[in-house]
Amino acid sequence: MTEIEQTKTLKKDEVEQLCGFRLADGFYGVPVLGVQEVIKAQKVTPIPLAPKCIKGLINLRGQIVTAVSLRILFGIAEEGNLDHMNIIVRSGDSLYALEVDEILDVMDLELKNFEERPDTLREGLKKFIIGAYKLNKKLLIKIDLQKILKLEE
Amino acid sequence: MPRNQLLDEFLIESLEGLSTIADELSAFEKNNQNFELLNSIFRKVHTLKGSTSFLGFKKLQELTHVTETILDLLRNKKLTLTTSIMDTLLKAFDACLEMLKYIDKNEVESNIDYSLIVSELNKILKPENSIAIAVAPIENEVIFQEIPNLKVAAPVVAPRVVAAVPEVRTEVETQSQIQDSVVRVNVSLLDKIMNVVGELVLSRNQILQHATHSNSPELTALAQQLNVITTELQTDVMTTRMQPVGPILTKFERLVRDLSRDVGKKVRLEIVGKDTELDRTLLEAIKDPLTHIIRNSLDHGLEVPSERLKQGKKEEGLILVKAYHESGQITIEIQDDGRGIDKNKILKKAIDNGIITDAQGSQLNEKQILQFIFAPGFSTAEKVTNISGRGVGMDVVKSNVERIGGSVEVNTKVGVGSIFKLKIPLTLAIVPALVVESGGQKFALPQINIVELVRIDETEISEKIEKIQDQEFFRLRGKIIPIYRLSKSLNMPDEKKIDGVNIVFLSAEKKMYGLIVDNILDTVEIVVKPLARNMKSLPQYAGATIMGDGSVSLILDSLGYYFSVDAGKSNKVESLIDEKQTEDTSSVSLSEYILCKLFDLRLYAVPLNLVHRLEEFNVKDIQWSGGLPIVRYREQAMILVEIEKTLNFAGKGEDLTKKDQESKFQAIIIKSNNVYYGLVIHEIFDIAITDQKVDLKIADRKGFEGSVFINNQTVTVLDVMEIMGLQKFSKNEVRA
Repeated sequence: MTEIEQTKTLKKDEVEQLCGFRLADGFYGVPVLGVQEVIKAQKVTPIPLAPKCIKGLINLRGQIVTAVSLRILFGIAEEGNLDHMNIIVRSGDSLYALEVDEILDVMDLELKNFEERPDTLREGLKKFIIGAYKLNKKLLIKIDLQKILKLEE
Repeated sequence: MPRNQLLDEFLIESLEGLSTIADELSAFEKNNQNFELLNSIFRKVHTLKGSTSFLGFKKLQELTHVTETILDLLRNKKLTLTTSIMDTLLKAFDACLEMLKYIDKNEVESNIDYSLIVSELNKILKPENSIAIAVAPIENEVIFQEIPNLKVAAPVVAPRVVAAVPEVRTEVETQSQIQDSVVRVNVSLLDKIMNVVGELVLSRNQILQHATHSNSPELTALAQQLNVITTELQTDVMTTRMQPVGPILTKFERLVRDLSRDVGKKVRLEIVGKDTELDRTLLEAIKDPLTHIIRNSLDHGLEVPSERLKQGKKEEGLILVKAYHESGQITIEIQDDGRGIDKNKILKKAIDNGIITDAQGSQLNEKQILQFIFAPGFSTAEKVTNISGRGVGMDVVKSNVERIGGSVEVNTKVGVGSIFKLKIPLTLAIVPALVVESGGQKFALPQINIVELVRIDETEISEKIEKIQDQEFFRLRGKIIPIYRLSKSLNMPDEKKIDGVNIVFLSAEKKMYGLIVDNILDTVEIVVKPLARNMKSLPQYAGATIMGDGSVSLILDSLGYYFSVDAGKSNKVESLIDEKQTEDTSSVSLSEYILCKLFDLRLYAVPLNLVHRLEEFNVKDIQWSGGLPIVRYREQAMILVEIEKTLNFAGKGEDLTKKDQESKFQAIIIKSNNVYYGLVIHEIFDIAITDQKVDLKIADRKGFEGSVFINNQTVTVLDVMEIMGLQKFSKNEVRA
């Protein structure tokens, strides 16, 4: 079952937990159950010839993790020397580190505030997004992990 | 209640026994003097019968009893093994297997009626009625000995019966000592141990590195000790997981035997390299792919005896399965001497099935075409048999093998046969590797691929490294070997000019090439960790590993790297079949042409070896530069050559300036001195291969090389180089 379907099957009054993070000035969230852990920026070994969004490989306690820059994947300009954080997620046998600007809290979000992705979204970004939660003053965009880990820019 | 332990043990033992019986029986059929083999089968069946009788599986007992009786007769030479007896026996064992599997699932005997097989077995016995009767009472006796035991001790059945099992066994089995020294271990536990040892090896590497930098002699000594122990542990654990491929390969004896009779072919299966050891997970993973390939070879590959005789081949077809280690991989070859794979047939099918278009098809080389047999639902079999032809299978082969990081290759020659090569990597293995540095990054090169290291002094560089076109070569003891620069090929910053050049010579299958690296650092033991799934498209890397300092390094795949840098040039293939093919072609010297139509709708031929690609462009993308049509192609401005204009054809040419802006046009891309030229044509027609020489009679005309006779037509061969020479521009202008 894809994440979109999962979201749909949840009842309106239910609550979903997302791990929130920030990229540039946007707020995003990924289902907390998909997250293995969150770590600081690590030493990265680049993979020559790999797609641009792949920053390289990280050693996470003896396991090889592929680091993916969400900024590049989402088409957001990279900023120099900015310290980033890694959200470690698992897909199949492989571990991935999603590079984000800042980790927010784990948030309990009520499904009644959820809305599917608007069609007006920028094309490059649209396919990675399931929908958004309306918060007090801003939107929290829920991203589609499966699509992201296909790494198609 | 947890599942009966007794039942479990019975099942494990019986299934294990049965799985080898069929193979042993096939082996006995081949060498019917080996009565030790028959004895071993007999013992196994006997044990099985004993166990079934006191567990109360009546049907199984009945079946095993009759089977045992027949085996006993065979063993005592009162009955000779004929093919029909053999078949019946094999069927009986299959039935046993089926019953056991049912019991495994449902813990009771199935209701399926096996009386047919039993009666078939009894028929074998009938002619020797007297003996059969003579045997029967003995059987009853055995049961009587055991059943009362069971009944009396009903509440405490388990311990007693367990005790009874070895009793029966020691009676009949003489080689049972080994069983005491063997322990069954759960595979997942083995996997876990292997992983932990992998981590340990990495930690050891890190500790060793710290120790060498420390001043404490104690730490150094301890680290050394740790080193020795870890290495030993690692080797032992590795060996634990290794299993010879033999048992899996010999299973195919049965498969080949049955199949070959089903399809009315005579087939001999030869197996080489049974002792080649492979990690057990990999062994499991290749079982199905191998089965598929062998089925295919037998059904599609090998011809029926009459056809073989007609072609001057031996009546009996050969399937050769070879397993061996090669450059850090295990290779399993399945070779048949059948009809081979007709690449034209495959191409046609691929086009018919809509996998590719005609035009795309014309651009493919043989290797690419052969890849289609791995496409899902692809089959060229004229008719579907129950063995193969449904187009399911080869795609499974490929995906299964690729899942474990391996590859499948096909080499074939029509009329001679095909070879399928499965390459199984050492994904789980710990391998020794050489660490090199290039472009500021460390890479690991598996030692097994390294042939030698050469260092050239600065003063000698220019004389030792020769350049032919863009390719650099090194003369190593008289052999000219291509060399590549690691940093350049991986798009990394160029190496700084230092006092010399380090070249690592690597083997890739049967070829050798040199790799220029900035620095050669160290040799270490590395744990190969696979890259994430979506990195598999980078053939240059075999995986990644964690170095002593905790950083991650990429492992270069010698073969994959070679193919990536050598793209196209290495299409000459290495295997036996292809060598023959090249010999054949060289003796008649075949030329390949692209047939295209110009705007006068006549056919023209362009030698295929000059063609870089075939492309389609939009008319609106044409830009004009001083009267010359230009399009952007691969980040370059590419001049479009209008052949008609250049050659002053009589007014028939279609002017690009007058074409509909929304339409498209086709062009043949020629690459010369790193500059692309696009020959504008009306349409691509076909690819033709001919052994005819170019007839030079019309060569006097500018831009024509001559004519060839293809498909009953005389086709003009264009002299592409001359046509481009006639263009009124120089190369430099284009670049600017």
